Amino acid sequence: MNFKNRFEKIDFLLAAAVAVFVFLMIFLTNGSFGFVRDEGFYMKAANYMADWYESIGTNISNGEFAKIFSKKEIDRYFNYNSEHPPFMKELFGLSQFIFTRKLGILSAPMSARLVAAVFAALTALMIYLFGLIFFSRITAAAAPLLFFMMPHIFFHSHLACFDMPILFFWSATFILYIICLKTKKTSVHALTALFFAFGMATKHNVLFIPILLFVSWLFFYAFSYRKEAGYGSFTGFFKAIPKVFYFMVIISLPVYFLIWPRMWFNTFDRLMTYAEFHGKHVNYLNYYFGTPLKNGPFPFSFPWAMTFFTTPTPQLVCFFAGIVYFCRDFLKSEKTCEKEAAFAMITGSLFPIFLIALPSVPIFGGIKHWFTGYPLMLTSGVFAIEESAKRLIKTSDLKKNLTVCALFVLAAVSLISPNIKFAKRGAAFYNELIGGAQGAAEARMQRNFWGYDMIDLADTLNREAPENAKLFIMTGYEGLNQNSFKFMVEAGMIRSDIRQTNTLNEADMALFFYEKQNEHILNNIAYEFGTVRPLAVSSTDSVFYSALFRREK
Amino acid sequence: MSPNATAGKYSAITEKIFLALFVISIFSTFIFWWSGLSDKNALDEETERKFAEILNENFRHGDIIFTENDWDLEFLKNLKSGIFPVVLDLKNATEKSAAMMKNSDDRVFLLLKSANSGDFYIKKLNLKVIETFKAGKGEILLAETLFKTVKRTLVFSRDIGKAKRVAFLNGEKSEDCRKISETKWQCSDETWNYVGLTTASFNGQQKQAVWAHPVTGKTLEIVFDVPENSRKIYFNSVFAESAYRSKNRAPVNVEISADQKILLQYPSPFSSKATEKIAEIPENTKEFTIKLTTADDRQRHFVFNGYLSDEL
Repeated sequence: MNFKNRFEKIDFLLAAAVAVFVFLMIFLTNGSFGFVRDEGFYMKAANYMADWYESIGTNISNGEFAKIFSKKEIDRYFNYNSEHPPFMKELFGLSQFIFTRKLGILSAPMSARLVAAVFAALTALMIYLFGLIFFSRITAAAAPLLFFMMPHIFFHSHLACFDMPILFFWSATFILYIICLKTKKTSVHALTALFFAFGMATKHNVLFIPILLFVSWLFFYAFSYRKEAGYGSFTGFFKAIPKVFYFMVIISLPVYFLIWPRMWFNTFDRLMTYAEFHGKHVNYLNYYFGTPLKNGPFPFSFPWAMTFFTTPTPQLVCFFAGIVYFCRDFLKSEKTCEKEAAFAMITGSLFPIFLIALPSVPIFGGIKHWFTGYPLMLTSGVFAIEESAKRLIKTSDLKKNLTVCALFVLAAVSLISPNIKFAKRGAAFYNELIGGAQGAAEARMQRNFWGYDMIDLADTLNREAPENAKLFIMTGYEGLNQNSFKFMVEAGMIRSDIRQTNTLNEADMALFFYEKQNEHILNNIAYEFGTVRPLAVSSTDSVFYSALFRREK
Repeated sequence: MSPNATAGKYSAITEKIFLALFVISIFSTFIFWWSGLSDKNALDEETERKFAEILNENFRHGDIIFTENDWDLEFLKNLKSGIFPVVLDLKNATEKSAAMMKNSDDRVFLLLKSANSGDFYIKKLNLKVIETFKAGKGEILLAETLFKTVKRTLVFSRDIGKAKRVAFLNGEKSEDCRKISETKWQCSDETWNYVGLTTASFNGQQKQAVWAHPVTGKTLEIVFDVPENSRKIYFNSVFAESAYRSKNRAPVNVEISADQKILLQYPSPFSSKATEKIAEIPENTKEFTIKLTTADDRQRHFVFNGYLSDEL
């Protein structure tokens, strides 16, 4: 992994164009997706955060500075959803405070999704910079485009959740770490630790990073670094440790605690509760080739196969090419730091998948839990393809570049159709290797995730529902979250007089979110409503995902 | 740095393979997603319309519909009211599960994508075809299952409306549930507090069942008259999907008695696995009673099914 290009004037233009394009594509299509289960919780938490910002203003104007950070005040606003760190929720809340409460230009839910769009833009920027610095300008421009043309990625980029932000921090920390290996600049090491801190304050996934990187560094130290002058002794060992690891203690931890005020009080107990929640996380039932994965041990193949079948094939080829590229770099590099950098890239790409593959680790749901390393292997894969194409074409550099650009444009054009088909349900995308949506349904794979897929039904619901109708939302059966329903009303997606219920017997209308384990609900609705005839069905390639029913008896 | 910087790190053959794969992937994406291949197995409109027409004309209350293509449900839009249940699991259905899904002598409809698979399902499910309907490119088989070793004298899910009494006992006090239809007894204003027909998963098989949510401190009592020649009781119980994810681990205690004599008594455990019990019914039994209790009723979405049979 060598530095290959400097950031030049044209890169300001290209990077800005990529970031702005991604931001607009994400933000302007925000209304295409219903709110997933998690968003309901985080948007509610954002309300608390916005209230907190309001209260800070009130306390300051009352001269009660100490009250702002009192335990009572902090607990009041931070106790909700305390199983996750607050950084993103603080940003969602800040966005709501500014754009909803002060400026009044966005609904509260959409103000949270604005933050998601910003993180999508930052991710595009990160990929551009990674591509530029380590690979080529063509790769820098093509990789973000291909990255966001994966329907799952496009879908998750919209959500006011932690998954895309943690993808950003995970990949950025690994990229910065390999820059650390190549530069002794203290500022880069400090910046890496700062990114890691924000990552920790976003989601716990990144807590594995220092362990992985330090163990890997120890390995390279034992075999190589210790032979360098001054590094062999006891004190030399501590000198040899890259500064970033020290900074992860002296910068990351304080910043992490600063961002998470709830941890200022009863720190040990609260940290233990946090760790316990994730250590004993429940498993979410997933259908995998006809088998309901309820209890462990889970098949090692699960996240690998899901990645294989849920990634569009051009990007999938890039993943493989990228990993092979890193492996070759690892094997062929002469300098130890380059070997370590390549190894870090392999780890950053594959460890998230490997972790979920462990039979004892619960399956938390869809691919969002292990896609954090996708940018790394995709970008190197794009470069590997670019290199291969250029070497094969015996012509001028200009023509080589044009041919390669045409190849990536062709790939992007081919991906327009699947992206449009799954524009409203990216989480349900399966590639042609399994036969698309129909093949996955025949193979009894989990059809969709997170109970959000009702945008196609919303028009009919709003038109047909009687006044003050009660809508069964299947909350207890992986349907729509009650908070998500509330925010969909607030965002104007659902008529404001329609009320939710989780009890079919009292419902006038019913949503049915298909999952294999919930298919009996279809008949429960039929028994209760007297009909199995839907008013509206949401589907892609004739595969249905959800349906709307009206009581007829 | 020039592109040649990595020359030698990537063997020629590997890079050619990946380049070839990338080009192939572009073409496969074009072909699959742009040519209609991704939607090639859908039912055509004519078949969907015919499916609905045939069902609308021939369906009788109590029949059950199995669909071979279980992900394309457009035909439902043309169905009349009252035509259900539709079972989305023909592929995994077995001779026994198909027979047990339906109630006694009711019939099954198989909605097939083409006539080719008819023989396969007839053999697999041990069916006797009553009538075959051509439906566009597809076919509908109206059949009855031959898996009938016993006569079911009473089926709980089918006959819940025939219960003699459904009530919550609170000490000496009896709170009767109100029969609001042939399939449902409402026990209070709480919408979940009823005894009635539903469907649930019993060890992976969707079956008709009776919802019977117990209440802490009370005994839910369901009493039936025993039909003549009833000699055995088959009783299966399970928690519905949303219940066995609850943190409440309290079992539901089941007690089944015949003329005051206890036949079955067990705690139905907090599990996704169904409990299946069989007991003999003494001759000349007049009435039998199902009693359900629990120490903690939060999310005790308890369901049961089963039947009485004439087998000895």
